[in-house]
Amino acid sequence: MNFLSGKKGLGWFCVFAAVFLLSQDFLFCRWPPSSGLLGLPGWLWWFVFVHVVFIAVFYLFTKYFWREP
Amino acid sequence: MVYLILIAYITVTFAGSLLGTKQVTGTPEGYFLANRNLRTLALFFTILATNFSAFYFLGFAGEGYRTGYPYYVVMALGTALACLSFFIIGTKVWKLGKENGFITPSELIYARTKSNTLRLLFALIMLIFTLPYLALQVVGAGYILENITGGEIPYFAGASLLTVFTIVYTFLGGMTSVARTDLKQGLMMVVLMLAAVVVIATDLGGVKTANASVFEMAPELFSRGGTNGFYTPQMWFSWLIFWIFCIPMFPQIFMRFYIAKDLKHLQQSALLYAIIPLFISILPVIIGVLGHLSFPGLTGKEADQILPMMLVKHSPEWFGALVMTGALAAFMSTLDSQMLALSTIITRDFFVHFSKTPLSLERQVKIGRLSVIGFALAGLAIAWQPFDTIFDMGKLAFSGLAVLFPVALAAMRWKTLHNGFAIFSIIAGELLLLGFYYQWLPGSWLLGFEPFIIVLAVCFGIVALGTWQLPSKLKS
Repeated sequence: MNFLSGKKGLGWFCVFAAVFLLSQDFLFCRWPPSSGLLGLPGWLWWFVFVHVVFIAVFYLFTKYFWREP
Repeated sequence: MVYLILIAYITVTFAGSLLGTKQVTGTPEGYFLANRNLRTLALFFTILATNFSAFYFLGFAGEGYRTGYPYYVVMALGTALACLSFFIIGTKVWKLGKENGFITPSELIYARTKSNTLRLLFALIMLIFTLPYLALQVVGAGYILENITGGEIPYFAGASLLTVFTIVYTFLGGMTSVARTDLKQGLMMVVLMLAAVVVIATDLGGVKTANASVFEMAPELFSRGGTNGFYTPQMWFSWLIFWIFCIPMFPQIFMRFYIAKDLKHLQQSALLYAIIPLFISILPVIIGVLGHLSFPGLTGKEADQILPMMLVKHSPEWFGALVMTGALAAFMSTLDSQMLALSTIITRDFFVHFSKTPLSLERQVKIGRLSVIGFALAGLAIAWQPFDTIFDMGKLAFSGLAVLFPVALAAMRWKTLHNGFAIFSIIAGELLLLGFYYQWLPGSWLLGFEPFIIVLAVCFGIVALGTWQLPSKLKS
């Protein structure tokens, strides 16, 4: 795929893959059912964190890599 | 009061769309693509309103009721990840569309592959699998009107009424009207949904207290795997990655990539598309989960109506009517975009393509307008006997469209693609999908994943194999 060619393209692919791995929390932790902040489950806040990380990474991607083909 | 609010909404939307008719230039680009001139906010809201539909209002709440809070992550983070497709697919679509004047997705596929069969197959799959999703909006409108009028407007009459109204303003104004109403409808649906959560949760003692009560009653809704452990690791992977492949293949979204004024506006819309689901996806899911306090034990289609039921029980009549008007706005903004996208495909990829004499631009617009009526009637016909749940209805439509992604990706981003293998991947993918859906194929082949993951893996494999073994250079 031509957008992955070059070190920069591959680098960004790895960064997004890493963020996606963070969302696969089954791989590295077990959450018990819980009702915490606002009565929402504790694990839900982990995903809010992952989502915010994704937004930050995507912003940087848009600013520094995404160019007209 | 209910009728007053409904009439006021319809009048305001209709007036707005009439303004849109003045800007229609009588050319296909004007009618179908708003002259490729949308800036960030208009572009973002038209994408948002097009995508957050009956599935958002009724489907999210219903699925929140059935499986619990994990569904929020699926729809928030999962949908946000789809903004990567704005880059992968959207950038090329925007650029090639602008340079070559493409209007439909299949025109671009044809220009890259020079395969008429691929072009028609692509168009046909988009038509077939968008219809159930279109019908889903009609079903939603029927449910909502029946609920807020206490049954005075029966399900099918309500569905028909809203469909006719949507036909009128799409028919008159095309994409300019659609984008204009999408901006208002998108804002309206977000604000009203937020207000609905506040009002319902307050009536139940506040979000924290109400959640704590549900937690005591049904802790599985708060568990990581959801009710009955639905979200196994394989299911979780399936649902988080799915939207990247699915969302850009909705014809109404694909065509939105054409209408960005420039790349900067497309990028900014993509960024907003990553941010906004974080906040708005939780709202209907909360209402769905809290629904267990007021209406325990609902199953199937019943759970899809949890949002209007909660509004009727926990808010004043006028407020319920106002929020449901927001829901109707969401349905109509998706329905109009779908009708317009499908009418564009039928006009350009079938009528223009098969016509022995060249069709004038005005005639194309006329055919497009008439086919809007045809698709609306087809949606109504499907809505006569709706599927078990809104979620099931959406899943079938989404999966069928996602099968197109490997070919679209290869056509857009690869240097070579073998047309025969591309055609085979689409046909094999759809057959496999139907095989799993109707259980002609053993469920053990899925290895615990959703069918679309296995199907997409097979489709990618076929396209890649053909490209590797028998490469043919794509046209620039």
